[in-house]
Amino acid sequence: MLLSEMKVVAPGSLTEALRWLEEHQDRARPLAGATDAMVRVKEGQWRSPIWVEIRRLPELQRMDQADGWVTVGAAVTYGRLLRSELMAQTAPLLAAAARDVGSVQIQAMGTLGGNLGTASPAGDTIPPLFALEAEVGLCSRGGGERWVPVESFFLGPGRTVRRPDELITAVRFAPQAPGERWKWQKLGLRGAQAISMVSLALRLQPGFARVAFGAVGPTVLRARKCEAWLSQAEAFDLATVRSIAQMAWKEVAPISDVRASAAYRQQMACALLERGLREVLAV
Amino acid sequence: MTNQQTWIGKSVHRVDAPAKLKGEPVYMTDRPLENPCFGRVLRSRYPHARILRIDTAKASALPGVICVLTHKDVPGLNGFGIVIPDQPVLCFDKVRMMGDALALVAAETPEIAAAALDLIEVDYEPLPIVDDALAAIMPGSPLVHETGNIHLRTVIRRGEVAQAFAEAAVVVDHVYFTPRQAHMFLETEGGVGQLMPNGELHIWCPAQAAFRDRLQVARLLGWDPERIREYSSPSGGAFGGKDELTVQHYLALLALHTGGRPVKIHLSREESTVAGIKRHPFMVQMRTAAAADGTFLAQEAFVVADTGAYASLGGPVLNLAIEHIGGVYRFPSLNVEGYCVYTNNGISGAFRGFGVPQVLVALESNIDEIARRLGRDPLDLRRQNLIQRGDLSAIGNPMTTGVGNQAVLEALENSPTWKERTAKKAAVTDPWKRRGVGIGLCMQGLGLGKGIPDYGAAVIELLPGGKFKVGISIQEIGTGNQTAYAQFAAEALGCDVADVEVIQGDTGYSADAGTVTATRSVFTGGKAIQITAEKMVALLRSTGAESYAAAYAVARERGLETKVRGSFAWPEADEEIPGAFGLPHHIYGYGAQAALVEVDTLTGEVQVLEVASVVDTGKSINPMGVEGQSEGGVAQGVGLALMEDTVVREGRFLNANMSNYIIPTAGDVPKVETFIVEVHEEKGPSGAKGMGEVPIVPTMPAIFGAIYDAVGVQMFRAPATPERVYMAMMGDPSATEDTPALRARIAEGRRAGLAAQLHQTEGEGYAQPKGPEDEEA
Repeated sequence: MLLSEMKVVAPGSLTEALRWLEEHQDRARPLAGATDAMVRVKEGQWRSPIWVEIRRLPELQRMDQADGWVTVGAAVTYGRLLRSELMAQTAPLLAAAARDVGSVQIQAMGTLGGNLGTASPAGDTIPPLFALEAEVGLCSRGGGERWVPVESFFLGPGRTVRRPDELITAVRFAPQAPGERWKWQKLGLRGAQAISMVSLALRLQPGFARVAFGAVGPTVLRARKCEAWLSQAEAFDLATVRSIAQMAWKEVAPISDVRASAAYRQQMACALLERGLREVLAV
Repeated sequence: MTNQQTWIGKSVHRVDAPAKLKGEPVYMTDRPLENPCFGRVLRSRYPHARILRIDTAKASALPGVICVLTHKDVPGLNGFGIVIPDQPVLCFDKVRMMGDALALVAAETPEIAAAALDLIEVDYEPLPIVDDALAAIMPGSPLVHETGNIHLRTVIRRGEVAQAFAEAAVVVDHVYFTPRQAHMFLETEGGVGQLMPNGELHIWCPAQAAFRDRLQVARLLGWDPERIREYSSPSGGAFGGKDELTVQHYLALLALHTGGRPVKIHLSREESTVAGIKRHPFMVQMRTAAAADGTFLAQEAFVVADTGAYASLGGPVLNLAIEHIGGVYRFPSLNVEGYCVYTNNGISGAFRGFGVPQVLVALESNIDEIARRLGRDPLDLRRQNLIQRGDLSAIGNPMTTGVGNQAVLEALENSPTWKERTAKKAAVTDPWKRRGVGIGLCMQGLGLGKGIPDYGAAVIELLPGGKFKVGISIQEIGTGNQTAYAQFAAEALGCDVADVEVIQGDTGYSADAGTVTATRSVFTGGKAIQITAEKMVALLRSTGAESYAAAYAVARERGLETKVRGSFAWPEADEEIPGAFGLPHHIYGYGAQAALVEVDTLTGEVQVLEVASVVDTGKSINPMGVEGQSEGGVAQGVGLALMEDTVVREGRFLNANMSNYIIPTAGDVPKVETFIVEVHEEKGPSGAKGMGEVPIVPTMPAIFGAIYDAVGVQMFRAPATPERVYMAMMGDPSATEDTPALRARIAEGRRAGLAAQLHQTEGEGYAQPKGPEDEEA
């Protein structure tokens, strides 16, 4: 399909957007910041006959806290996330990851919902959402709204449980505790604007730990053995930190590609966890 | 020469900066066109295959398609190449790389052109792929060209090598590998071609060799070159990657079939990466001998350069590398065997440094190890072995021009990066990080070398109001030479820089001063402008007028020619190096760098914190411009050392765009402190030499030395990615490439290389570009 044969529609409301999706199903595709779509279209993929532009929909712009949930609309950009006072207070882990996404230009255009929809195992905001045990809000005209735990949302690289008539509308999670230790770590081939070879989202409180890795499996994944040991540890000396970090080796399943080998990625899951723990624990 | 200079040696703002900073469409691929059509190139589906059939019928029938061309539509020689025309303009019998061109399309829109490419039917018969340069030398390897896979063999032997190694106290012997670095200029290859109403063919195309491009295009069209005009400046970056024809040949062919409409081609980043020139990947096995007192005794090297499917400048790249195999040091004996080899791995050619960075990393790393084994300070050991003026270089060339290695070494020694290295290394913050400092020294031959016609020429025109126009072929590719040329002219003519307009790269106006390559642009252009300016000054005097504005009026009144031209021939060495075409050079630029790095021992990440960059420029024409070039060279050197490699497996490109081809960002480029050293070059204009390539050359060895200093591992393969550094630190077997099996292959390769019957005798058979006199005749 030629570029000039594609149709881009810009509905004014969520209802209207959902109607486009319902009517055209697989022939329609949501378009938010276009930071992934432009690249894929240029490569000859994702040649969708209809693009439904959702970037400006007012219903997808929310960022609020109520009833124990922090809710972030799907069209909120990385730039808004990383500058948000609410995020700084309730999800600094997510804000830190947003700061590491692409360039300033990408941050100005790319959205949280888009990162979820593209479903790359290397998507930078996803490990924090795993560590926050977030839920993804999906909406359709026929079925209304449903909330899916982020861990159940992804089926594999580029594949999610979203139905063609559904739109990702928001993400919600419980806020990070005020005294909580947390760390976002990303390993790329250079200091900035690099696709992650391995990434880590870490949350730590007495008796509580969340560890999520990006780019070391078909989806982002939780390292539950590491979490269990971390939540049970009584004291963190260097030897303990190292032995727990080494366990990550068994919890990841990376592949080799042009950026890094599987063996290195596996080692780096351990290395990032060790480095993250040593930074937050000062050991 | 007077020391009272108004413009030479002053930091002048770049004359081209305002328009570029404002984002004006200064580049030729950005300019709006009247009634354009759009060209595309059909590239190969296979890295190596016989072509059985090309059918363009369906593509031609697509509405909106203006023409579809194949090899049958090439009226003249279906070949091009700076040295030998071994690359088909449009392939006919076989393809040798993924970037090979099979057909051209012009259409009403870019989209239709792309759709037409898909409709061209090509039947291929895939052939075995040659993807390893060392394997390509061996007997029985599949052939990329019928004439054999060895494009050039250069062997230089000097002194009593065997005896030197036998008597040495230390012998260091390693194998190094360097990457297929991509130029990654901002402006990918592109341009516009148009057949003009007067019958001339005009080509607007960012390039580095306007007059030679014109000859190459004339040859493939079978035209008189005078009917072709190329506008080749400015360029949004080139670095050597636009030295060869890029799209001029396609534009020329298409423009003959578009009814006088301008036709535009602009390569995507991916097409640029697959089809464009790259830095030659090298394998260098180097064995260096030193006496107990640190004196270097012998240097032995086996060098294999992967030129890909076509020669381009592969031969000269190999030879320049070999010329610099001993660096800035005395080596009384030398044994070097070098091969430039065809493979199906894309195509390699000119790139800033031109082979020298690839061998210097081996030399300087070997020297670091000698220093460690002798318990010597690495800088002091280097000082002990520096070539002095009057000495012979490693290849036996008497060094008779300004030798700046002593001066750059002293400046390096006094730089804060080196002098305060102990404190800087101790300032590491996290306990899992280590810091180190390393150094590299280099020289770089300037100009084209012995036996290759090298000349400069310029025109200067007096304009109404007493302003001047300077015309010179050498292009502005981002280096700042336009500003330097305005400075030379203003100084010589006694006017303001703002009163000089510099017209570059226009074969219809500018004099042929050759290419913007080989760090020759300041020397060539400066000298040509100074010589031409003398004629202009004579013209002005002859008018007897008080002002230039009045002189113009007088000249017009008397019917005097207001445009003058001058030319000169580059100085060259007295004696050539036997068996090594183009060697030696006569004038060299010198550089030295110290790098401070921090290595994360948990991940292998290397952050370059600071680089002290010393450059011997001869007289520095625009110090601010020198600093810019120095910083840019270091940035590109950091990429070469740590990040950049076009990964080609079985002839196919795995990282063709910039999401996976990694170049340094502002966050990766260190603080660069530049120290300019001016070792006066009496043969140069106002004592200048030039320096554009120098700052990329010592960066890789300085960083590798710093990594060793930090964590005690020597890197043998660039780029030193986090994974490679980590695996080396872990002692992982995958980090060791120098195995008995590799040594056996090298031994076999050396035997096979020396035994090979070459189609073309070493040092002969190069097609020479014509000199300016020939063209004018």
